[in-house]
Amino acid sequence: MFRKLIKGAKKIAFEAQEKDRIGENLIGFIRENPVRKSVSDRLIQQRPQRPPSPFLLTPKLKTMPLVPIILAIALVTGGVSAAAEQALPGDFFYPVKISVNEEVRSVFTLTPRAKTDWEIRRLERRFEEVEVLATANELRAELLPVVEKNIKNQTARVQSDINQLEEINQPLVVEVVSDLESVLRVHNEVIKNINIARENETVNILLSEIQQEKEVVAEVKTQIIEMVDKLSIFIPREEAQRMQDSAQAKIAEVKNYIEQEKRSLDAKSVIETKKILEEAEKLIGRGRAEFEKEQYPSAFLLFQKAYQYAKDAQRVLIIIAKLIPIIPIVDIPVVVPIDVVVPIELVAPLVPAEPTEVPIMPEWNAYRDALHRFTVNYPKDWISTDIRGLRYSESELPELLLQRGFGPNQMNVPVSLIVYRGAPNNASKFISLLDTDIFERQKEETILVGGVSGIKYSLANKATGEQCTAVLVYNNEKTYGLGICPQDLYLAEYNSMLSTFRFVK
Amino acid sequence: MNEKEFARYYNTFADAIFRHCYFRLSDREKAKELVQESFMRTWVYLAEGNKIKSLKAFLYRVANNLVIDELRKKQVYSLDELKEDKGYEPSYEQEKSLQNRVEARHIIKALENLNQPSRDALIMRYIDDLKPKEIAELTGETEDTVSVRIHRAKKYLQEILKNKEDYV
Repeated sequence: MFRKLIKGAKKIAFEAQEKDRIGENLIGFIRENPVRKSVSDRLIQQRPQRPPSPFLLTPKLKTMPLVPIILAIALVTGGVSAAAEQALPGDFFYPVKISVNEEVRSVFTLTPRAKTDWEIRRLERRFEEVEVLATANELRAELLPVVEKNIKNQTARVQSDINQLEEINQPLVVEVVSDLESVLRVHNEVIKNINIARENETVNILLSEIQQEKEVVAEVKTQIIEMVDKLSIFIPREEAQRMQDSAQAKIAEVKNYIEQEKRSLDAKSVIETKKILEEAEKLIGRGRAEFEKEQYPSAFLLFQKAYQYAKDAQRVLIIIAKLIPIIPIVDIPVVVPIDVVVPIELVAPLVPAEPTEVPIMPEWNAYRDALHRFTVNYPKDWISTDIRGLRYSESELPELLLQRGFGPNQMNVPVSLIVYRGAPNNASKFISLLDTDIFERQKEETILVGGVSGIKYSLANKATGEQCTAVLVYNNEKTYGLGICPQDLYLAEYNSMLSTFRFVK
Repeated sequence: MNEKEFARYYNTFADAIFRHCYFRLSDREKAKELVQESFMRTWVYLAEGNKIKSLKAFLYRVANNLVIDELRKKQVYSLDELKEDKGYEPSYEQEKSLQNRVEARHIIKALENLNQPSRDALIMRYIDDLKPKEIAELTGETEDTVSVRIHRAKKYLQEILKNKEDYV
């Protein structure tokens, strides 16, 4: 009996997830507390030395090549692996990141699911590197073989893990394949949009590769989903319930992320993300109805889709948060899964007008768009950036991004100018400000903008109560939109901008 | 030692250190915390450039000290509270581990018939598989004292188990 008791006791162990979680914590801790030099090395360092000359450091640094300087800094601070974490293809420490740091983390993942999740994350890390390089326009041709090989190898690793999972758990395979597909889809879209303005040929080559991988994975995903749909036996009630819990948890996590990071996130992306989350919640509602009818496979798939929506939204927000500090003008479109914006009708007919003279406002900057034939003035301390094609790839027309301040203090001014081809009721599809799901249209009035009659909308955000204004003007077979949201700051500047708006020949 | 080697040690010893903490504290969540803490402290010791002859022995020493600290804190609580498995949360996906947890409760119940030093000695000898000499090093007692305590504790527990059909 005693032996039996001891035998039983020895079987007691961590659950694999618990062990993984502590392993993850440890890795984080180890990274923050790297190994310092040995005691004997430190003793050598402590020998009395001649006081350094205050003039010594600067000339010495100037003559040292960059790599040894980085190496020296990293070694002195003990952070080789920490330095490697930020490395990009072509960097000195990049091999450390791939072969040491990431492999060490792999050792800590014990369950097949955790391992696959980590391999998917590694693939994302490869894409994030490409995004940083593409944003800075530094993806040179000689880096292409490395980047291509990395992405290909990593996708193959994930696929091999998925094959192993397939033997263990079918519903799990749906989740991870969807996740893989989402990574390829979202990053493909992001890289494509970054490259529109830059037209880097190397990035284009890479994009065609990613596109192929994406299509293969999408096909696999469809097959698996069809199989799950047909073979209801694979989805028990508990799996569907677990998927619902996961989807709800993910939605809550993204909402929480938005709440915590709202100051640093782009306002429009937040609005788009919230729309996606609403769609995800609707899917959960539909899934619940199926669940009540004991249709667990269809409930599972709806919950899974909801989870994927929330994950996509989170992925895009995280990408934006990472890229904005690198080049503040970057603006990434959120991949909206379905069209949720209702087109609106204008209350008054719009009359095309002849161009009028440009007003003189010497103290302000002037923005002139020869293609779309208009000018507008804006305050002198604002910076304007034409982010043509970076937002709403459907339109391929410019949006003027206005910012204030420089460097880390730079912030987006909540005023935006957009031009869309076609009449306002087509264009409004893309103008999130006018989305009746989010904004209540409190007032509509006809005003003259640049000598052309347009509509001014006073709007209130249903959730936050924030007041916003949007003006739409139709001319030259295009719709010009000028909006401010929220309007508690810069309303005076916005009104002055409206007064300076002119059409030109 | 580098990160990778340390990760391997973690994978090798984490379960054993967990058992060591769990059976002595009867608190699953606390045991998890102490495992993490033991490995972190060991890493800090290594990161400061110190050498460790036997990592296993070192880990047990750290974990043992942490358990003792925890037991001191726990003395203020009632015995009933000690008996509770605080980390117990039924989980649908882990039927196997659920059985383990139920089994663990039986074992803890049996071990609670012993006083703390006897219980610790028994756990270290038979669950942690430490030799009397190693236990003596950990507890600061002589090897003879430890051996006698293990022998008595084992005999006492065997008698208790004989009288209880629960554990047959």
